[in-house]
Amino acid sequence: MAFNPFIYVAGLVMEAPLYHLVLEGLLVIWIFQLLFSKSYYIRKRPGLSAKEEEELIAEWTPEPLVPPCDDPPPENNNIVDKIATRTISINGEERLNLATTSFHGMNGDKSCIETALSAIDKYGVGACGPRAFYGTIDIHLEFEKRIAAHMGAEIAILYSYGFSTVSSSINCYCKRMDIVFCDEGANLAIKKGIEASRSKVRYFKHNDTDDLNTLLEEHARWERKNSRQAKVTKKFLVAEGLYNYYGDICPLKELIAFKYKYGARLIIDESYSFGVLGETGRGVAEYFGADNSDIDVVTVSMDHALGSNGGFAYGTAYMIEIQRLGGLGYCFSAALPPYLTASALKALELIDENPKLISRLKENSNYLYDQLWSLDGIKLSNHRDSPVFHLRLMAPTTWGQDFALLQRAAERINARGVAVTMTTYVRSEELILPEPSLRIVVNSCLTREDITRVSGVVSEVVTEMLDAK
Amino acid sequence: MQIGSLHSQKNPNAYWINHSGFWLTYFTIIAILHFSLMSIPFFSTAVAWTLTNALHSFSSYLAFHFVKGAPFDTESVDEGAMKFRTHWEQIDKGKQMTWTKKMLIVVPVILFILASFYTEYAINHSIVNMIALLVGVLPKLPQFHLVRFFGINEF
Repeated sequence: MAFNPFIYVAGLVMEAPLYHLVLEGLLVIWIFQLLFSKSYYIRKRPGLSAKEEEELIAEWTPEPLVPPCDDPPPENNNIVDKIATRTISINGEERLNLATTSFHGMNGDKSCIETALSAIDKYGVGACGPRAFYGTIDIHLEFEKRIAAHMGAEIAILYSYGFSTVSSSINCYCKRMDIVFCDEGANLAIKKGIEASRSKVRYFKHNDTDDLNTLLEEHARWERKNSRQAKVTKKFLVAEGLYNYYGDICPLKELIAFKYKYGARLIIDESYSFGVLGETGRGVAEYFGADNSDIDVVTVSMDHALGSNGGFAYGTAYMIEIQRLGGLGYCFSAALPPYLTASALKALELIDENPKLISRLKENSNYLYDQLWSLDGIKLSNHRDSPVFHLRLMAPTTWGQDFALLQRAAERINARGVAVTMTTYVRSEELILPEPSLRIVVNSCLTREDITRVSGVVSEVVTEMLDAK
Repeated sequence: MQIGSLHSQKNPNAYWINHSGFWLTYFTIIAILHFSLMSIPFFSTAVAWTLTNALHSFSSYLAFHFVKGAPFDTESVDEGAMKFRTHWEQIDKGKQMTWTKKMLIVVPVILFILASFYTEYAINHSIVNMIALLVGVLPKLPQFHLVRFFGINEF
């Protein structure tokens, strides 16, 4: 009889133990059930029943598409019609400029403008694409090289928008499950960056190292309990060099000490301190005599001292190279127009060549501070060396009232030929709203007489206002 | 992420396994594994089949359920949501019982049945094969989605 494979297989199967056959039978049935089952997503919460849905829909009242604004911005028709350096021309009226944050008047500097114009002749107006997508032009690379050499950092990276420089940088390192220790008084860009990063955030009181220490200690205790999770949780310290909202300087030495003690990364936003603090304007590290390499990432917006647009970050290659692939503001927005890069480069050169600019700015700030600090009813929250002055009421009432009072004071100061502004906050977006303040920004173009005049006008108006109140 | 070769998906790790070549490649790799084990002279057919089954289950456990995260850069898009998810949990964005997943569950079962048959239901081989079946099938079930026993391999 010929070999029949079916009989052979059947014979083997018949010899198999019963439990095995049962198991295989069940498995085959299960497989068929599996093959005909539908695919689905696992929901954490059970779905609503039809009745519950009906109830929810009945309860719902639609919100207006545009919610009513609880405090509409004050209307003013002020038009600035010339480049503002030492003076600012508002509606055709020349006033002393203490409103813009161009600390050295680089936006109106002749050589900067000429450089920008010749860059337009050479490159045209736009960069025509993101940096990694045909948008890189030799001047971008030159700028990055120069700024890194200038700051003594390994590499730098150029962004096309000042606000997104710091928020992209933070978002690039801090991810889900990481923890960020941030100063309460940090500006909106920093807070938005942290929000977008989805990491856990602990705000410490403004410039309060004791509070920061308790938070870090608390976290260290948590780490000892959850060592396995702690191994993959990154820690970050975020602060501003010179605070936009307060005008004071961060305690850098303490932050660096904390950084090494608790093993955190330090990110400093130097938008306001670059070109302002330190002997040669190299920022807060130079001011405190600290080593620049102790700060992991420094971000700078070029809107202020450099009088251009965009921003840059610098640090070690190990940290910054990540931003070329992970910095969303770098990857996905068009590169900085070449002429703005050129003018920023020129401004950097000018600041580097004239350390007098920095010392004059410091003199001006110190002089105005000495004039104003003794004013009754007003407290200055800024540091003596800071060119950004914040006048706040000594006896605050409600936010709205204080704001209105200071606003009226600002209008009167403006009417006497000195342009100052209120600090504007996007109230709906601020997590921790600082007290309203009248902002005075000193620049290095002002002479001593100008400062004397400013302090005279400000003291007069403030005294008048507070007496009338 | 390289802009020049930018993918349009948030997490490419969730989709590449659905591409048409994957099923063929998968079966080919199992066949090559099996035939190379068969070609080793002092391995009997039974040993070769048990080893095929065990190696398959073990390596699928490593690839799908042990290694976490993605080889692609997903952090810059989802802020690290996939950092602590195994590959199995990323496939089809966590959708259960899709055709690829069904295939990957059925393969160890078929391998088990074949291995049992070729080992002639010997008890020592059966024990190894059953363990391999459990390792190959259990973690793939929807009931074990995002489950980490005693926090092992959690972070």
